[in-house]
Amino acid sequence: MKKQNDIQVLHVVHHDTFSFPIDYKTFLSSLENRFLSVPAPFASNVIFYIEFYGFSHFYGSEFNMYERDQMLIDKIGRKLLSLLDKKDILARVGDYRYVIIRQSISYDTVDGLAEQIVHAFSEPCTINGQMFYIYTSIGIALYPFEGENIYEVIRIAEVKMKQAKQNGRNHISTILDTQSFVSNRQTDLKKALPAAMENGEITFVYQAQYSQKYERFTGAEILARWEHPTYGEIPPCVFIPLAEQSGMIVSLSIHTIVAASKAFIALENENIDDFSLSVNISPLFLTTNHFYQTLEFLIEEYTLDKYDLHFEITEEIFFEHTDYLMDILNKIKKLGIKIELDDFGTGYTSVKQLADLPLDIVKVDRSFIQGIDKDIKKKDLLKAIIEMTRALGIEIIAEGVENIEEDKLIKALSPLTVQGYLYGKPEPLHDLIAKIRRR
Amino acid sequence: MQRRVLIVDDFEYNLEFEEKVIKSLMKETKVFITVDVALNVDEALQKITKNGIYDAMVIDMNLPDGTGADIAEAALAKSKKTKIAALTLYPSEYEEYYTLFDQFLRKPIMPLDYKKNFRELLDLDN
Repeated sequence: MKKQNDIQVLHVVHHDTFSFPIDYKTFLSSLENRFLSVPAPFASNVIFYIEFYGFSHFYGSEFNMYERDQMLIDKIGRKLLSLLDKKDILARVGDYRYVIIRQSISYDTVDGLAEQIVHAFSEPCTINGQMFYIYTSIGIALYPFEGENIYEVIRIAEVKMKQAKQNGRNHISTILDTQSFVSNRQTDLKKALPAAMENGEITFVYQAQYSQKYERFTGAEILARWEHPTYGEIPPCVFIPLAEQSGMIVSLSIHTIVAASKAFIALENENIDDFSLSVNISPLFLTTNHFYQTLEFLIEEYTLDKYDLHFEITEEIFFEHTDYLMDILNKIKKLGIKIELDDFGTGYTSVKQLADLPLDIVKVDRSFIQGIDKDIKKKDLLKAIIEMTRALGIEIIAEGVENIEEDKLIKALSPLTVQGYLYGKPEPLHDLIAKIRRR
Repeated sequence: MQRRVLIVDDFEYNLEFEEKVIKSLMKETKVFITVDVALNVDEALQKITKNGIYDAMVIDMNLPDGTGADIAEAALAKSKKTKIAALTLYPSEYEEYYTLFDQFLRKPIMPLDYKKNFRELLDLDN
């Protein structure tokens, strides 16, 4: 990794004025001053560390090195700028390396911009009639949750970017796989997590799911939230990995299932029935020794068998333990729990696996849904997914529906169950109940 | 066969969870267990004074008005036959109190581990 003084920041887009080029240390120092002047939790920022690569074949004999670099940098820069807001900071910190800093008010879609960038650069580029592909690797880190100063967090984002690059082209990494690079801040949060559950700092919110077919709310996804007394709201993409690393994920999962049981009772008291609740289940919980006995206990003692409980699992779970998982998923289904495959389309589930797995629902990842009204490829892809899953007897939930245009297009293809900001952000249970009543 | 136990925790989720684990254990062992609960040291001491001798207690060490040790001392003063388990996130912080307890259990509470330890505490297998 380059030292601070070796890096020159060549261009920054921001509402403050910089003289270019400026050295990295000055750039970081001005950022730090900006962040320190705004107290936590309002100084929460998402750092994207991006590398573009793969265009070596572009270097044809008709261009000299300087010309081709300039053309590529210009192309990349303009494309990136078109995706940013006025308050974002964009800095080029290396040959084809960029840092974007975005002030974040919602952590539910912290990788939304990263997905937009990967998508924007997935189309082939054309310069002077020559077509070529640019590949992207992106690492995402959050300040101040992942480090004590902005330089540390940018370093963490850089390490994640390298991880993403190792995972293949056009990958985004939000989680640090290596245990050797953990900041003091992350260590502090990991230590604080067990007590957080006892102190009432962990709460639950609910994001509604709307049936376009029945024109009513038919379910909700339960999400955990951590309100830290010093740092404010800790993003799930920060504390869930910490829970997994520390072993607290089992306890958190149990808490969430218990929260679902209380929510079902509250909904029943409001005469809201025929309503499902989905709980995200970590692979680490699912593969513990006593998972099934623990689940049996929860179902029986919290009378969950009379309600429509769903478990959401991600595609990554099927990389290992396949036989065991098939067995456990079938047992879960016998307990009356439905199985949802989350973030469908972002992993490596084959069509055969989809046919063989005891799935009830697939949740199509929001990267396939956002902008679908403007993207014919996405529309055709969703149509294909609908036909495939219908043939397999699997229902669909479309995630990430944010506007009426997306909603209308999906309904025109086939009325589905949809989830996204158009129908509400994750909210406390009493707000969800009020929303259901209003419809 | 009947038993009477007291569980003490200031986090209501834990109290409810422990009660349900014990209820599940009752079904398995066919032993009827009366469960009293308390949210703090003061409530626990009142229950100890008011009720008969408890067969066992499971006590959270970190309570708003004292430690679980305060409750253990009162229980043992009433009867040395009461079996007592301490429940805590950080067992090493309470080493000086180890002699007051028959078991020192680590939070978070896992149903199967709790059942196993509770069976031993109440000697339900003999």
